[in-house]
Amino acid sequence: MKHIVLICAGGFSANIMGSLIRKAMEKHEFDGDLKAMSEWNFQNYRDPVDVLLLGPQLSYMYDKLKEKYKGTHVKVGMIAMTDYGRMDAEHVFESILEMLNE
Amino acid sequence: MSVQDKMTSFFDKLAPTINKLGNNIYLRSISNTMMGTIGPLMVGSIAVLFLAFPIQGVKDAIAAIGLTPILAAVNSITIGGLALYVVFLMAKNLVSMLLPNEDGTLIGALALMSFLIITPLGALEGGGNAIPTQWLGASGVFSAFIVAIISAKIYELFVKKHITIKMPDSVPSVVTKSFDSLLPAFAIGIVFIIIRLIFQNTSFGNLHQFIYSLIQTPLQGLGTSLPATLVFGTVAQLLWFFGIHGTNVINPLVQPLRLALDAENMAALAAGQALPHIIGNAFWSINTWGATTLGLILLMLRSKSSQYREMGKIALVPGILGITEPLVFGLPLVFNFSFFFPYIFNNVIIILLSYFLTSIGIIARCSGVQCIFGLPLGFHAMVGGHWTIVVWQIISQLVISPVLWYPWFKMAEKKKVQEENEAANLVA
Repeated sequence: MKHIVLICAGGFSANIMGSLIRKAMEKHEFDGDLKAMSEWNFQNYRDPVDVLLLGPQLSYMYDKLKEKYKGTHVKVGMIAMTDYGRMDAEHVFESILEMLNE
Repeated sequence: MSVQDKMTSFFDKLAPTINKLGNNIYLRSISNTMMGTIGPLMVGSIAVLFLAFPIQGVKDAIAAIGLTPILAAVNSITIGGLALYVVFLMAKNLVSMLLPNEDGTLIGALALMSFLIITPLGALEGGGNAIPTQWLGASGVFSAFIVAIISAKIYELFVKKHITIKMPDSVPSVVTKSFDSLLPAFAIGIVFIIIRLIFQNTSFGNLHQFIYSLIQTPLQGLGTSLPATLVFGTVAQLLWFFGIHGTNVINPLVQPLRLALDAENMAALAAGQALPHIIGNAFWSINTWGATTLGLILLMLRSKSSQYREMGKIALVPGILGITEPLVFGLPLVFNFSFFFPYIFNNVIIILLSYFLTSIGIIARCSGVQCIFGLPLGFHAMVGGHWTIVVWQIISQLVISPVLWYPWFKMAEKKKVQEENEAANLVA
């Protein structure tokens, strides 16, 4: 069971994107769940995380979060702008799989 | 090197500074503190709404059942007590960032105590004490931030330097812990008692007055003026153009200033007086709603380019709710120099028009009640408190915005259709 967390600035666009990725995960019978939230709420999030995805508008936080999880099992990634904009959940799902297989 | 390359490389140089700003713990704490005050502000707004109800019959009925003084009291302790919520939340948020293992609730309480220590207490005629509300509202917001930061930093010092009382091992850890939390409490308390003593002997009388006169008033004058608002509007959009959530980065710098103005508007509304300010946070939210992207989405829905039509369909529903990311990253508007000008400046044009129409009295001034993000166009502006504000938001987004985008859209569309035709020819 893998735990994916998707964050954006206010949690709104991440929510839209997140529900689409969840559908893709179901379709591929992926063993895991996805939660979408704002970056601030993630700050106090204590549940397990395997993959942390950032919306592209949070690019300014990417380096910091990458550094924070260095040496842990948590993979940090940023969703590509076009994937995020076109809400291409399939493609994001593929990159989640890639990140987990790294 | 083209202008575009120059701009991009300039932004690359700027990026580390923007990253620092966006990740700055003080600014992030301020931003989330302001978000946290929305609850009490909303309850207060409802009280104000009924106090200043536009229909006399309803007002009379409220008075008849004895609700008016209760609503007035609710107003004084919510909107009129803004600084109390700010000082608690700011200290709590800041400590939770400075010390990742602490949630900061205790220090929130200590900051509130400190804030009240430096607030002059008044004696009531006929006995008893009272806290004057003068510094608890908008005028005390800046001292609330400063008191919260000082309290949090003192606490951090105690925790990081491990200043604790040594206890024998047989003392249960719960007891040790509560004693440990007492030390910073004493230190913070003493610091603010001294501060009160010092300011009592100055012409300011107290720290609130000092901060209000020397920091809050000049900053408010500067930061919420029309030129400053236009500059902030432009910078926020520039950041968005380079793919960064500009609003998130800029807001903590100016939002507390604007919210204080909104609180003053609400106080005036509750007192039945004319609203003092045009610009406030509500004015900003209502006029920068969706960064005018809905107008572009509407143009795209009827575009000759099939790609644009598809993109328009994806972006429409989020767009109506003020969520711009699909269009911003999907079209994209980010790094897209064909739409540079309208994407950066449309907001500022709308702000200017709105300011002008408000100053000549065609649009009403915003009540100061805060907008709820995610409400559809028009509904979002209802908190403005007047139908002219709702109509303005709808007209500005559905009529003015498409006009502003149109020339740039036509140019980009022509190129796009050409590309699509060429691609079709290649396939054929």
